[in-house]
Amino acid sequence: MNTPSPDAGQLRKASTRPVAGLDGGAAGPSAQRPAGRGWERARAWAEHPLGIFCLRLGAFVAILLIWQALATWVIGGFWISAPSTVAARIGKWAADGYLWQQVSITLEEAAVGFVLGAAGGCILGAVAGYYRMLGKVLEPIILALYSMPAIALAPLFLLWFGLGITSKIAVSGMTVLFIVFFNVYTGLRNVDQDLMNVVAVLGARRRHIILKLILPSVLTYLFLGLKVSLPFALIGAVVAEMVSSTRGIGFMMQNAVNLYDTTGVFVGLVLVSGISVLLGSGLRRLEQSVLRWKDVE
Amino acid sequence: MIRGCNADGATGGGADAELEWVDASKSFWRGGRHNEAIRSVSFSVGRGERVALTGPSGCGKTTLLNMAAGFVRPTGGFVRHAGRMVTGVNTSVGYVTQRDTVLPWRTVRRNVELALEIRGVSRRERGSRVTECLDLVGLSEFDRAYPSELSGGMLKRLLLARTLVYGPRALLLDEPFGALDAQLRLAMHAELQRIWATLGTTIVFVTHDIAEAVALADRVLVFGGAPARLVMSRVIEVPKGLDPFQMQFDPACVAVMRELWEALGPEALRRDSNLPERSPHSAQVTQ
Repeated sequence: MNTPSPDAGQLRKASTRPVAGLDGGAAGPSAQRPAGRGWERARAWAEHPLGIFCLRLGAFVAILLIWQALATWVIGGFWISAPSTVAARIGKWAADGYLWQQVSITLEEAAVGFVLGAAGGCILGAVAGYYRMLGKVLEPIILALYSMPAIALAPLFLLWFGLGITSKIAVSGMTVLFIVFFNVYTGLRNVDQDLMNVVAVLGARRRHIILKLILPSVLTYLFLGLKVSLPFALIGAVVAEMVSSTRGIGFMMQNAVNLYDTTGVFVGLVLVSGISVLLGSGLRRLEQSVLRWKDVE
Repeated sequence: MIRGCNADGATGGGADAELEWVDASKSFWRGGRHNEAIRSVSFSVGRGERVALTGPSGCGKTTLLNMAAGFVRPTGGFVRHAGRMVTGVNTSVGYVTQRDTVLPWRTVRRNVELALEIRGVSRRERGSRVTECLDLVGLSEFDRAYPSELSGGMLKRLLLARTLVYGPRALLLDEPFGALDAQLRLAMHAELQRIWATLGTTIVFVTHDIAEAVALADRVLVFGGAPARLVMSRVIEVPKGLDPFQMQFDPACVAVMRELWEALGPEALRRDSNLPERSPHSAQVTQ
């Protein structure tokens, strides 16, 4: 790129003000358009939140198109359904109320499981992290429990808690509990010792150290745990439903499998991931407003 | 215990002592072996005195500071602050760590406010005292910024302000400017001189930089050996406020620095031959 120095200055300006690209380049006062500036502008635009959104949308549409093409011309709709068929089915089920009936019950299970699991994980993680000795004793035991697959626990939970909603909440809550536990526990173990000392010299008593130092430093870890475990709350509920239930997304999918209805199964998959993405972005919003100090530049 | 090796007048203020290390020793077990890190070190720092602790890496200077702050309990001897034994965390000192230990989720103002908040100072008084302190270190424009937005020098100022805000009797600084570039370091030296001139607080600081020690301190203590002991206590009577360039041509400065270097040199070398895992650079004392 053989641009004279004034243009180089302009390039820098363009990349620090990505919005400039959106209004058709009218922002630049100079009429000069040296080679390479277009690329530079495209990159600046792509780094803007709106640009990222558009790129994501593009990638999503591309995947749908490929899926549709494969279903139509290569593999066949019987095996992999097709986006158009799935959309039509969602529309149909939504219209006759079947969809909401299933989604609402799964959402309820996942939400209760998530809240209870997160609360349990916080409490256990806080206790195990605060009392070092206890943490050391419990760590391997909890890790062993965590290694048990949810799908294998589901039949047991059904046996213990019945075929109703409780067993699904239990499976969902268990998965969340372990993830949140490990994050909170790690967070507590990782509180900066130098900071502890410094805050102690400032005159802090135990409650100050807990409220003003430990709690804020653990929050980062807690949010990480919540974000990671959120999809698992849904997965746990759906898996338990697939083992045995009379309602819910898992029931709906199991039903579809029994009828060789690939489209019904894909509807379930699309719903679970869609809900996950939506709830996840909500959680990220919450995180951004709580941990505001994180995204300052 | 005998105070033999420290008999060269390492006392600063006598009866007027702010901080006193009396036969302070530290030993610990590592890998089943008993390690003696510091052996019977005694010195005292007078009120309003500025004392530099220097010596090779790992010779226990920071441990001596930590004893005064109450983070580390000496295994022998004791530390007295204003006549009282230090037994727990010493909240009448201010401690500035080597690392930038700020609370990243608090703005500059809220970081400085922390000590007052903890000490139950009323909101109104907190506000004016924090403002005063931020003015003193020149950070008033950045009071709403988060620490992640600050440069290295500004972070050091923030650490100083946070420490000064509650008016500690003595400041303990552990290599406060070690991570700064030479230019910024000079600016911070001037800053510290100015703060000292304003407040007259007792200052004990650890440094690897002989020039820094001579430029800032009233007295330099050189530590060395394994286990560490006090090698030399030297009163610095050179004009303050000279930059390193001027110091090179000030005969008094040169003489003092040579003397300190000589006190350090053989010690540093001997230490290295004892501890092969340390790189030879750890013996270097200037930046």
